[in-house]
Amino acid sequence: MRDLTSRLREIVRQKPPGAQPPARELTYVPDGSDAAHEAASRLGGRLHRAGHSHCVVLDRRWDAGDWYGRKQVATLELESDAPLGLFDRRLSLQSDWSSRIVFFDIETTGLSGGAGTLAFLAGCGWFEDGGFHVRQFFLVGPAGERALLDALTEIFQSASLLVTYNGRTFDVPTMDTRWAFHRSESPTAVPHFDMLPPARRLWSDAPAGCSLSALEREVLGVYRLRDVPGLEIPSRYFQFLRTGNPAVVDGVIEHNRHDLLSLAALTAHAVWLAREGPDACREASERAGLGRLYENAGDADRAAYAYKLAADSGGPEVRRTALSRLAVLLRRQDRHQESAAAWQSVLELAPRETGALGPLDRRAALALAIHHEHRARNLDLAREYATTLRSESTGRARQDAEYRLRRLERKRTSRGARKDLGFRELDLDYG
Amino acid sequence: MFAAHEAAARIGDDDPHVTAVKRLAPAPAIFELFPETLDPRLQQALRTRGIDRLYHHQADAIAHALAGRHAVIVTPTASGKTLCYNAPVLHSILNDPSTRALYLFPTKALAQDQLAELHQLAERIGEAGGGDIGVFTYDGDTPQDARRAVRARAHVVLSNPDMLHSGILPHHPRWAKLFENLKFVVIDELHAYRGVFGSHLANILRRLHRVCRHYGSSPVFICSSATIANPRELAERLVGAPFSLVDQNGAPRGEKFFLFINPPVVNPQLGIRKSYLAETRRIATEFLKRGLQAIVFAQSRLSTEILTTYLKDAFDGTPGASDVIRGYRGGYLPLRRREIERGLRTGEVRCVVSTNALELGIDIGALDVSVMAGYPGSIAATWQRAGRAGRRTGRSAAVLVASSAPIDQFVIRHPEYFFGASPEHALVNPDNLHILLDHVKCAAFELPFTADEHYGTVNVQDVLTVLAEDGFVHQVDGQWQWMQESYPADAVSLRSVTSDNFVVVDVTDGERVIGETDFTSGPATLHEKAIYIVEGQLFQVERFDFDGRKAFVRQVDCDYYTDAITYTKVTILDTFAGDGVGPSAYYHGEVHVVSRVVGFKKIKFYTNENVGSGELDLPEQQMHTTSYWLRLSPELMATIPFNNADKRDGVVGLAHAMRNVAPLLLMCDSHDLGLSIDGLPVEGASRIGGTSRGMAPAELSSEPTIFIYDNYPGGIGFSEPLFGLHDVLIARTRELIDECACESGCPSCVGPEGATGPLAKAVASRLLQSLMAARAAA
Repeated sequence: MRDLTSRLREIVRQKPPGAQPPARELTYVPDGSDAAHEAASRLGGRLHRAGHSHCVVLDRRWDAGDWYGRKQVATLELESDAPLGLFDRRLSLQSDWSSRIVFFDIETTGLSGGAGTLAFLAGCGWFEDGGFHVRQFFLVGPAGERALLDALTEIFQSASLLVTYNGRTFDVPTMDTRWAFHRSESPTAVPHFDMLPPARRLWSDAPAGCSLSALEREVLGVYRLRDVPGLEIPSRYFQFLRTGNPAVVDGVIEHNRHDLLSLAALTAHAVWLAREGPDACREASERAGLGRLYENAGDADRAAYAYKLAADSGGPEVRRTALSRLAVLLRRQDRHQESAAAWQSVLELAPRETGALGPLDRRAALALAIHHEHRARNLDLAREYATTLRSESTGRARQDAEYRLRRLERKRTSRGARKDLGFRELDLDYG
Repeated sequence: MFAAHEAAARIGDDDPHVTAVKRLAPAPAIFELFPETLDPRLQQALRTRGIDRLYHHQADAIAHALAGRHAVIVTPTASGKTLCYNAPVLHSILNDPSTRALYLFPTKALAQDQLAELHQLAERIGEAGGGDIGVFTYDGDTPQDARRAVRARAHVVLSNPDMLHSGILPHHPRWAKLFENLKFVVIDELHAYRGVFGSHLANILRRLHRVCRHYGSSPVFICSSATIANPRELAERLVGAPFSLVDQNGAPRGEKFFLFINPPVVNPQLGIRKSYLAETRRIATEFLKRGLQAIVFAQSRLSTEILTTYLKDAFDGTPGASDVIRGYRGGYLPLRRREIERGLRTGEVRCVVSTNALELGIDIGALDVSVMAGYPGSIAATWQRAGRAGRRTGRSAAVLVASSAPIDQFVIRHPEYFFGASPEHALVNPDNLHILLDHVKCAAFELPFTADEHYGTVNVQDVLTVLAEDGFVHQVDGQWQWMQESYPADAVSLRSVTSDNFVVVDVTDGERVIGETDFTSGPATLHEKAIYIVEGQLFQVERFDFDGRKAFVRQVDCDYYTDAITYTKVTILDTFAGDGVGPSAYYHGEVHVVSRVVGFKKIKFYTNENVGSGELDLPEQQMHTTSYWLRLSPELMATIPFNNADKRDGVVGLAHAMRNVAPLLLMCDSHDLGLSIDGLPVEGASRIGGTSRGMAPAELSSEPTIFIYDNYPGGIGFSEPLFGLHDVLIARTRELIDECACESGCPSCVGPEGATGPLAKAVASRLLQSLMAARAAA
């Protein structure tokens, strides 16, 4: 019989077709704690042990006077009464964060989850004596995971709040899986503030999107040099495991450290903005974002104010968006006249060069058709908007417009003969 | 109501083509009392459902399971097999509410079916003070937001191997509660796990064992199987542990008549028989006229639709007839299927025409008659289909109508073979390297292998070393760390060896995907100008994009279908064993198979006339697999007094017949096996061998070799048993050919005369005679 190894090789090599070429590197088999010691010293850290398991602990501090982008580190610390309830209603019951707020971010061997995805680097950051302290736990090999989890448990147990960026869907469930893998109770049942959803509300118009690295450039004015792109992180770690060379993960550790500081800075900035209100914003789009934040938190008055400021200051697209949000908000407050006026402005600010109506314009036209039919009782105007809608829509919306036009026609011919109450509720749920 | 046997007898009397009428005697029930230790709340719940004692086999199974012994239960349909596993599981949950159980069914529909029953029982237990027992299905249809609740609340999870493989095991930490408390794993329809699917399941269960070990549990396996020759061996191969066998059926059985019918020959010269579908229609109609509820099994989706149409036509005049005759097959929407199943149970549906979709344990009640249009392909499947008719009391009948396929003709002419033989062995090969490698990857992702860990029978450390060479794993900290970002289970499909496939795109009106075909059979069924059939609608392939794995088809209306001609070359890589001396020697071993679709034939519907052909130029497909082969020595060939062309026809005819007898001896589908004769072209999809019109006839080598190989990369374990069955194979093939009534070859033995040549039958017969004489002399 042909030998097993050559038959296996044949099968492994032939599929999947065109798969990654074999990674041929000097193979390195780390040797228990010696290897961990060496990695720790080369990375500039120390070892943490739990039983036979050890991981590398790396400490780094930014002092109070250090600058990060446009801000000094000392100014990034959240006050104990930070109004986090504005960002996440689940946190509104608690208003004192005086004990430790821990910023948390992990790096993993893959994004797809599952038992085989390892969090090889877990970073925690907190403020201490005005400075920002980052403590990271790094796995020299998978056997160090117990020690890593053990160390994290200690930190989580002393934390009053975890702050993450997308941690609700990624970092925390991934870590829960790791604790479950080791058949231990997960210590992550700490109040948790995920900064990603509020960041999306605040800066949804950011040109490069809402990734942490995009926002730190746009919002914080921080430019990283020689950053490791997120996509490269798993393969760098695999390379480290194969070669034992800590230099290949230096960049990853630095990346994680910066993510933590950026997260702290971004959170501080968001809290500051929410406190100061729209007058403190540098850009109209941020004012509109603040409006969304207030609106989401149920503060309609502050939201309306923010939208108005945004509508008075920005470029046409920002103004139109702010006006449309304002219009919806006003209608919910039964301020129908003002709402209609805001929709009117949305249409007036529409770009003239393109003939066709955009989605926002169609919403405006629909809102105005409803308003003039049911509130203002100006059937001629209502018909004008409905006619525009019919010519600019397709499918279901077009059918609706046709239906509306027929109804308006009936009303016009039987004007005064009957009340139109019967049709009112058909439009009421539109917002 | 007329009793089934009267109708059966009448059909028998009228018909000279009934080859067997077998009476199966009724059997009384063997009861046992509930074991005293069985939880009183469970006993009470069962009593409210009219169950106040157990059948013997149920009591047996419960005793094994509660004593912690793995058990496999072999029972016919409608013998109360679900209680065999539900009772110990529910009892254990009542004793200790942290207990968890995992049920595996081969299809989602079966899990749904069982969910309803288990739910009812759990409710009754709740009424009896047993608290809340959570029973949930977890499969591809479970909504994302409901999955967390299932993980948290289910005492019993009903799932399938595919979901266990890709949804549960890779995420085992989320299921920690299940795995920590897993007391029972139930595998229903065990016989369905043979061949590739079974080999995959065996590996998934190896992975399950690893995960259970990690969480400190060691579940008891309870398996139920239809009658096969080796239920205990199959369970032990799949689970990797010793099993107790429970096969003393204690459920009562009514009297049953089993009829074999061979449609009359209408053209003796060409060996053409009356259409078996028309014959099936006639027989089913007879039963329906007498008010008997019937199930008709057809061999394919197409013939299911044809028979449904025929039967509906036959009942045209009767008011409301359209609703009493229904079709049933995969591809119908679940709601419609449930409606038909309900109609069968209530008796509103009088006749259902089905594919093997109803062969598995879906609850349709017990019917009066089961009519099989064509031999189901194995003794086990035939008994299973026959078992769909027959109540616990009263009479029932099963009728087998043979088609002209060789396997059908063999069985119908040898009823004693069918009734006397044990059913087939279900074979799996968990150590097929292709399958094993995929699952080692999945297992490495789930839990790192340790440096001294074992897995299956191969040396897994060697496997991991090879995987490490290609960067899949890396040895670190004394264990093998998974070194890929991807999630390996996604790339592994359980229903075939490779997850690669071709999709069929209908471009008649826009573009829409109407089907898919596995990678190996793609070129033979989707080549350009091929006719592709789905739900009775014909499509012609306009373009076959091999690299893009797509075929573009357009609806056509035509009266023929196509059959690909495949050129297959087999090279022997390694001979594992050989036997036989002198003129004929036979072997099994590892081979390299290169096949290429070189052309196709157009074959007219109904008459099966060859109405044209075409040539094709498609890429080769290659695989390593295992094979049985028979070598006809030059001396043997020299003793055959025919010219070379006739000898060639004879060898092709012999190979054709052997290849058709082989699935009868192994428990396998016809296309589990491939055939090659020294490089002579063989027509793929059909069972017809031989050279074809328009193709240059190839020369036979001086030492022709007939290869019957496992049609899966790596082999699935048919070759070695076939090697062991060589003498039976030759003897049965000779019976098939010599006892065939045709003059010079027909589709039922060596192939139709038009395809094989006038003397094929005579030469094949002579070859067999010489082979047997040589064996006898040796």
